[in-house]
Amino acid sequence: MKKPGSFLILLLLTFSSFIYAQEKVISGVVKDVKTGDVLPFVNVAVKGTTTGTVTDNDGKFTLKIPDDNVQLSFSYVGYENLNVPVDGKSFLEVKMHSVMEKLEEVVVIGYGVQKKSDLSGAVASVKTEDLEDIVATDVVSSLKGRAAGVVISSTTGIPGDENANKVRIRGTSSLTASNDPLYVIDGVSGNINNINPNDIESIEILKDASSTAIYGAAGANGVILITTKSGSKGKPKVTFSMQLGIQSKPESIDLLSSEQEYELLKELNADNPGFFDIFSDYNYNDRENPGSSRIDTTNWANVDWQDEIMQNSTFQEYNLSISGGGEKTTYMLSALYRDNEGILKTASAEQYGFRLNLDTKVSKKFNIKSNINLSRRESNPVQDNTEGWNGALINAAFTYPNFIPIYDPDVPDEFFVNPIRPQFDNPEAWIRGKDQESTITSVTGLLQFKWDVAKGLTFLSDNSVSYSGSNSSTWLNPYDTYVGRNARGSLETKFSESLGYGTQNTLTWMKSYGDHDITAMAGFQISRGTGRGSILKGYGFANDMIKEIQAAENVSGSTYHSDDISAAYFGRINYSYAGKYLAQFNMRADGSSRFGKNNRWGQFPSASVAWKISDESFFKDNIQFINFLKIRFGYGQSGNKPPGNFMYMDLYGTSHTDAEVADAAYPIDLTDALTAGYSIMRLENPDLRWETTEEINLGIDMHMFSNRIILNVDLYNRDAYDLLYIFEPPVTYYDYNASGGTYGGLLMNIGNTNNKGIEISLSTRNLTGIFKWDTDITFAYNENNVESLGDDASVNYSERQVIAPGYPINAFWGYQVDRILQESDFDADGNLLDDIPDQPNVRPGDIKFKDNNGDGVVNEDDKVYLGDPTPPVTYGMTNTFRYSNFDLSIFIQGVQGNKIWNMTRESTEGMLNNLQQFATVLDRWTPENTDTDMPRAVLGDPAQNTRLSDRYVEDGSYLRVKDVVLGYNFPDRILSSLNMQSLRVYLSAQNLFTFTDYSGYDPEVRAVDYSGYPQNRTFIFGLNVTF
Amino acid sequence: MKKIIILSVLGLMISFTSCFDGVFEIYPTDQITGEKVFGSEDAAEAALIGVYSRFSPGWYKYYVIEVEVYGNKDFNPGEKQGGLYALYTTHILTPSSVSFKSYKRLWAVIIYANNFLKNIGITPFNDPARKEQAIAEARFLRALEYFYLVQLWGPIPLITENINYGEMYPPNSTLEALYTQMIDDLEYAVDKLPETAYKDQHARATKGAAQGILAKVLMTAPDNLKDIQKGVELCGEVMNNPQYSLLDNFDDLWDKENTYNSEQIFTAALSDQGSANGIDFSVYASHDYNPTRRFYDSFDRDSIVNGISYTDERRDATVYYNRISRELYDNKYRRAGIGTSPNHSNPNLYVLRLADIILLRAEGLNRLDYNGNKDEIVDLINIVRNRAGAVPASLTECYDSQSTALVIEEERHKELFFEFQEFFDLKRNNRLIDVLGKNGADLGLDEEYQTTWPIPESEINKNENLTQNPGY
Repeated sequence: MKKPGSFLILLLLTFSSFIYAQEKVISGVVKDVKTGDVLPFVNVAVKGTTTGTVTDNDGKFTLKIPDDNVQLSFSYVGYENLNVPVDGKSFLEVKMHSVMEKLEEVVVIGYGVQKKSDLSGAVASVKTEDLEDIVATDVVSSLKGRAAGVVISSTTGIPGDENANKVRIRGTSSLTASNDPLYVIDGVSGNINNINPNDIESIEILKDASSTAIYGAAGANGVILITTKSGSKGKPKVTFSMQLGIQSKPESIDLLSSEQEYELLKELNADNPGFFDIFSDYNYNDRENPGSSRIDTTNWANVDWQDEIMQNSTFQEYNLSISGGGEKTTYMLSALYRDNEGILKTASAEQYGFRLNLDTKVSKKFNIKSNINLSRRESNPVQDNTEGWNGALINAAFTYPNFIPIYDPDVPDEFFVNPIRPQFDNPEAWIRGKDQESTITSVTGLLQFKWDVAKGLTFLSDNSVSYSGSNSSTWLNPYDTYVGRNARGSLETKFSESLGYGTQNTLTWMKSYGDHDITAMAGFQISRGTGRGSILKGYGFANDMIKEIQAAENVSGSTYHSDDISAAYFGRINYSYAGKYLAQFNMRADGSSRFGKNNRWGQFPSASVAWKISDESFFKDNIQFINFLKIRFGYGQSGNKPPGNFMYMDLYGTSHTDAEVADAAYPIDLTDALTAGYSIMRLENPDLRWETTEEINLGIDMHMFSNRIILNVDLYNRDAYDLLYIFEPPVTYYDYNASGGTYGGLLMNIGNTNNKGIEISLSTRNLTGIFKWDTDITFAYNENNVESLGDDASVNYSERQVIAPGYPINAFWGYQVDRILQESDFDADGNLLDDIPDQPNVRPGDIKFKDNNGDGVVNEDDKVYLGDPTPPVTYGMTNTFRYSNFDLSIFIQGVQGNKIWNMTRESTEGMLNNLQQFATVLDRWTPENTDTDMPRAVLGDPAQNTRLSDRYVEDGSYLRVKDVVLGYNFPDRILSSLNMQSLRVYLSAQNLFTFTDYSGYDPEVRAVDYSGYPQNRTFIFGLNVTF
Repeated sequence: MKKIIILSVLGLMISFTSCFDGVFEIYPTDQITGEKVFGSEDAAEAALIGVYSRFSPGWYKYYVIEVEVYGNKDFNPGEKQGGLYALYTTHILTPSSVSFKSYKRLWAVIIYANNFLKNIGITPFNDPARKEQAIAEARFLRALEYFYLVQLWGPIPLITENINYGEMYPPNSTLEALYTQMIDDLEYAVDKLPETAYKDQHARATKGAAQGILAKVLMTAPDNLKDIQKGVELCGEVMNNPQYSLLDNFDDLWDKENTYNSEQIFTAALSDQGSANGIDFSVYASHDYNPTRRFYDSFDRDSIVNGISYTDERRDATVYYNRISRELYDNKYRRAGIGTSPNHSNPNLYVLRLADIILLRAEGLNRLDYNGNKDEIVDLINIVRNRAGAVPASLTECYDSQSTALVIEEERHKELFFEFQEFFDLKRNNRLIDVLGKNGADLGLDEEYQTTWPIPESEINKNENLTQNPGY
């Protein structure tokens, strides 16, 4: 490094004192603290004013100042901002810190930490400053769009829903085994929902297999590492933060008016005059004889059901944390309360959190860290994505006829009984007639011992216990709903608890020999998860006063246990030569009780190398605008295990989860008494083995123009093979529904899938003066493909989504609409003309589907691929502007190229039964209205216009202004008078605007949208204060 | 040096992994392995109950309604909800709309029975005769389910071996092979089953049940296997069995407290007890499927013949008339179904009862030789009519074979309405198109192919060895 001449400084010194003698002027020189190089073009300003200048080529500046007590602020690209008090001096030698040091930032990796600049795998890091001001009811949703290649989709907007987010890192690989990433909280795997977002210090996302392989079996889908805050030595720091907000309901979808619906019913039921008995000129609601009520046609009800079931709701969150510590012990303590009302009436969620993190230095070589986290979540869940007559309010609001009044005009507070279908209740009746509650209480304790055994040798032991208890109840009162009345009140309560405990122990050895640095780590872990629970059901209640099981006439119940054990050995060697050449080698062996003896253990190796080209002198000397350049290459394997316990065994049991098929018990005495039986629950597969994911990753990290531009690019190719696949064989082979639910099929290792893609993240500092502007962009493209399903599994093309070789996982599948058939397509006998492919039962106004294979008949063989439910392109962009004490950040996020199956429209545009229809059917085909793409209305849909087709497949791309935050930090002089360290207020808006062609409430729902609960537009006022 | 380290690390890992293997030996508490089930007599009996448990749920909710509305001329389509089963009432079935659940649930019994039959061999029984009975019960259930499947879906695959990973995609069999298997199973059952149910558990198969079902199978089988004579004899044996007799009062058959009675031969049973045992039969019992006015009016009401007044009590036992809505509903199951619990309207369903066997014998005798049997035929019809209080039949009404066949058909229609027999009756006598087609009730069943249902699309898709029935 060259050193500036001290002569120059001397010259400056004398010169500046001369100037000072003449005017109130200050001068100085600005240098890099490490190298001592002078820094030209540094912004120098009098703090709190717009007076300022920049340094010249020699790093010098001269500035007029009002008085000697001001502070000067220095800012420069690639350097940390600095404030320096003048204190009567006339010359300042200012030393600035390069943010190049940011590269020296340490990131958490599996079982250890590493310098960010030394990483050889693909790791994304999100710091909490980036997340502080946004409304995050959960940690996961706050990451959306902020890390390239991490695709987070919401499956529902229901507050407090455990599974509201679906996280996919680098696409979907597994067919049956889990695709969820592993969450590791302070070194131990845990439930992310129990974490208070305010407690988080940093989040690291391990993406490629060379990084995740150290987690072996659990790491196949990426690993999200969460580190919580800890205290630091010093006096107690008290931070209070608060968010208050309102959430607004979505814009209503247009439905037919009552009168228009009546006109449609006339068309549908033309052959069935008896149907119109329910319409007459008087109101007649017959509760005793459902099915005989009458609708008043002179005064249409026109109930706006969407409006009835929704509300604008409120959100509030308070968080208090205290941290500090002495010589030996530091602490961090936090408490959280959050209350989130839903936009859907009856939906709400509350959360309480408490955390204590303690660090104790027992001796020079011995350190103990203990974290305790308590969390309680209480919610009133609701159903979405199902049929309205089951009580899913949103679908009910779409499909319940709006000509049926809410209340009986003659009896106050009594609901009008549905005269068309008494089993389909009024949505308001569900709101009043059904109560659902759910609570989850969890306690997690972590005890970590760290022992510096010898120089360079560290022993670390992480021991954890987590307990979670949950209960939920669903109550239907005996009055308001059909099911409730029929049951004379019903109650279902569930209790469950789970206990997980485990230990992991590692020994790490670090050694340097000249230019050689070696770190080696070896470890062992074992953990067990057990659970038990019970379900009680009762029906037949005298009234709704006592809502407990003992008040029921009939009671039934069941209990269950679960058990799961896993163990692993692992080791890692990091080697670096001269800090330029980096290599890492991992090995892990995983064992799980979910496999039989033959294949219980899986071995997962990985390796990666990196080269810091920018440290080479040939590069440094020649290419100066690039100040950091590293290329990385990694290869690794990781594994995945079956989604449930004991799935390799040949099992018989007594009950089934498929409610329609009932128990294995049978009333063999021909009385009401049941005799218990055993039936097949699962077929044996002793050869079940680990699903394996193999991935290569090529990455480049480049920093340009003194870190003004930071670019990371990763390319990857990921193959998953020996896929664990539960598929449904023909029913002649196995009644897979017997064991019911998700795990009912036949579990085998079958086929392989591939994901490949590119991830780019780009950070730029566009303006660095008094007015600052930073931009962070993430972009990812992923291509997903099912390569093969092997010889055994067959593809079921009958569903909306199929798993078929050559197509993305869960590809949409169905017919393609060609056009509407007109009268001119038929001959005089009403038969289709010869040149039109044969399609059964069609009449003018029905849809002509495409005969894709050209065999002259429209049948099953004409179904084709209709689109990918998973977005191949995901992106996010944050623009942050700072001026003085104000800051504004705008985060937009979007997806491109995916499709959504709008399943709601299958019923609300089907015109095949007497459900309420969308206003779009006004354009339906009639002999008078032939120029349309909406088919005719016909009862029962004989031509199957509502068959699974691209009619319901919509473009799911969207661009959303996800978060806008405008904040103000109070200046130091006000803070000092208030005895505060910092005070910040902000306004934040979430989901402010959405640009999409999707016709449903929200494009950010699950891929098959059956009236899902949408994301809300939320406005928040927030405050953070630190004492 | 490095090599030694790597080798020793690997060696250590392997030795660790093997020594910790015992840690993973855990078993579920709520399920047991097949080895244990068939290792003991008690557990194997429970596995037989498991086979029965697949039986009645397969019938309820979908299957019975589909079969009833498809074969019954006196059903209004479910007009009020646009017809949940509209395609069955209008006889427009397609591979994608035909009920997959029904197909699957009928197969489930066969699969469970096959599994039981394969594994029962190793089970030690104290009484070898009981082991044969248990085998006979499973074979009876298998034959019964095949009988329904074959009548509805034609030459489906024939599977008698237990499931294993090799034979996942069986091809179609032939009607001959299928009926041969059914006859074989049922003859074994007739031979081995006891006269009265084992342990007085009256939902079990008995000899009488096997005889009755075998009679129907023999009268339905393809021509080379058809044996009406033997069917008639088997009906006679059942009728002569002193444990069976008609109830005095037709209405009493529908009292759920009285399901085990002298008239029942085999019953699909459901219980009000148990957590998930409720099957929503209310969809049938409520307002979606209305018998026609024509049917309601077809019963004898205060009909004076020879100075005696006859009122057929089957009308009000079968049909419920709601005077306010002026609608007709089912009444046989409605009484068992309403107001007990959610989805717990669980009437037991008669699979076979004596009145069915009596009329079946009459039908068989008529098919064999009208002239030789006409007196007995009229007597048999009148056993059923007299109990109901209907006007007795006479040789004026049953003047030849054809007229007699129609009288028996109509009698079965009235007697067994809502008892899912009609489709099979019409199919057995090749009368589906006559009754439901353009020259009959004009309900859309005009083509021969419609007398067999399409195999569900997903099954065809999954199993490329399977051929769709003609016409679909």
